[in-house]
Amino acid sequence: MLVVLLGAGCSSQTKDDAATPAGQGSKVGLQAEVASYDLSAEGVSRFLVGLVTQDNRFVSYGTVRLGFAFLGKDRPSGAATGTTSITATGRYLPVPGSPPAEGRSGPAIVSGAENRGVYAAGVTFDRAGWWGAIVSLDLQGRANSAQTTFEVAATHQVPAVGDAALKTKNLTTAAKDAPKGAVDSRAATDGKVPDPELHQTTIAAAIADRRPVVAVFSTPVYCVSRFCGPITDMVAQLAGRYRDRAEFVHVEVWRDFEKREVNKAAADWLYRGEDLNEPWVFVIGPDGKITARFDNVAAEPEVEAAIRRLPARP
Amino acid sequence: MAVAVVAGLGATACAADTDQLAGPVAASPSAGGQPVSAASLQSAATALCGARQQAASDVAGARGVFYALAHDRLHDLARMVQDRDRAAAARLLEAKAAVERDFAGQVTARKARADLERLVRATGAALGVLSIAPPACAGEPERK
Repeated sequence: MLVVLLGAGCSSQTKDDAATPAGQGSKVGLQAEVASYDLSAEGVSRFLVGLVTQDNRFVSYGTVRLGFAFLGKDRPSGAATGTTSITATGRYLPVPGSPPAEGRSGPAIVSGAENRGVYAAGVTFDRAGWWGAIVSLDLQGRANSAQTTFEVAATHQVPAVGDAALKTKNLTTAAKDAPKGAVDSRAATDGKVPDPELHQTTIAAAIADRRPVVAVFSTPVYCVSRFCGPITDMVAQLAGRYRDRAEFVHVEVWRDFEKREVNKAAADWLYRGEDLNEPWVFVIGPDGKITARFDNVAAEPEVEAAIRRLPARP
Repeated sequence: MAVAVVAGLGATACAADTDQLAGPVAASPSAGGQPVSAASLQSAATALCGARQQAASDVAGARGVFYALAHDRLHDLARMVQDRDRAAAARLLEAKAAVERDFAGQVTARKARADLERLVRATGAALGVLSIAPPACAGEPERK
């Protein structure tokens, strides 16, 4: 069993010239960032972790080894010790829009222009509380690792697989009482909704008609996450290929970014405990139940596989 | 309804050099758990100036500079600014989105330069919100 000592104090001071210790003693100074939005002790969680170097490059491609240790019910206030009780293999998941790997097999350090993504694994956490993760990999011919801490909730906070989808009336291009930018933030500046086919129906109407739905909740312009990419474009491309399988819906998060007003449909699905994370993709079956969900980084192959599992429409 | 949206990178993050980790280390995150220095934000702004200049003759090269040296730091900058000056964060993200749209398709050098110019200025304004001096190039008119 691997004993991990995690520095839970690695958070927060805001200082203009803050120094990062990431390179201290490291072969290559790596930082691990948990990119999952809704980890819980219910069933299998989608664990996502990104690896970033001190000079803001990404570790991309291949696989990494993941070890998880339970640290306690409360957030550790100092060094925390845990024993690795779960292991998994993290497979590389490129952010949509990243160029293809082209022969890369193992993890490599690349610039954001070349590729970016996270490592993903399905993990069953057996307890709620604070966990530590150690990410191990071979990088530039040497063993390397990074660690991070994160919280696992007792229950999922956002609608999950098997839950009934919320019958929300998201804004469509026909909305008379909302600015175009509330329908799609890309229309905020020029009034043009770039993917009108994603704004033709509501989740509520599709469920009422027993039509499957692929719903992407995102704010293409106002996304501030390091890992957000053109996920809405990816869903629009899938819509072109799988219109026979489902209704495709884009729910814009913001009604007014500057006023901090969130669209009601996005709030109903995602606003929890003062926070709202995006992007999300949900696949909803003809019975109105969620069959798949993808938080933050959703790669086209995994979303496409979930769509292909939907029954063909008559 | 007025609510705050946060990026989903709330976990603490530290580096390690072996599987046998050695005690606590201190990090200094100020944007979603990721350490960000003033110098790195200034450096991103300087890179944008370079991309603006390069776009005149080499749009693909400007794209490379933008994504390699500026893009991610602009996300960090927006995250840091959004709670202090929402309008400045909005202008920054809108300008960034315009540049991304340019680089995703066929764009003329003139349009790319114009949108990069807008982004340089929005970045300078956002740095100002954090009391970080923008690089000199961010205040200069574009050299043709």
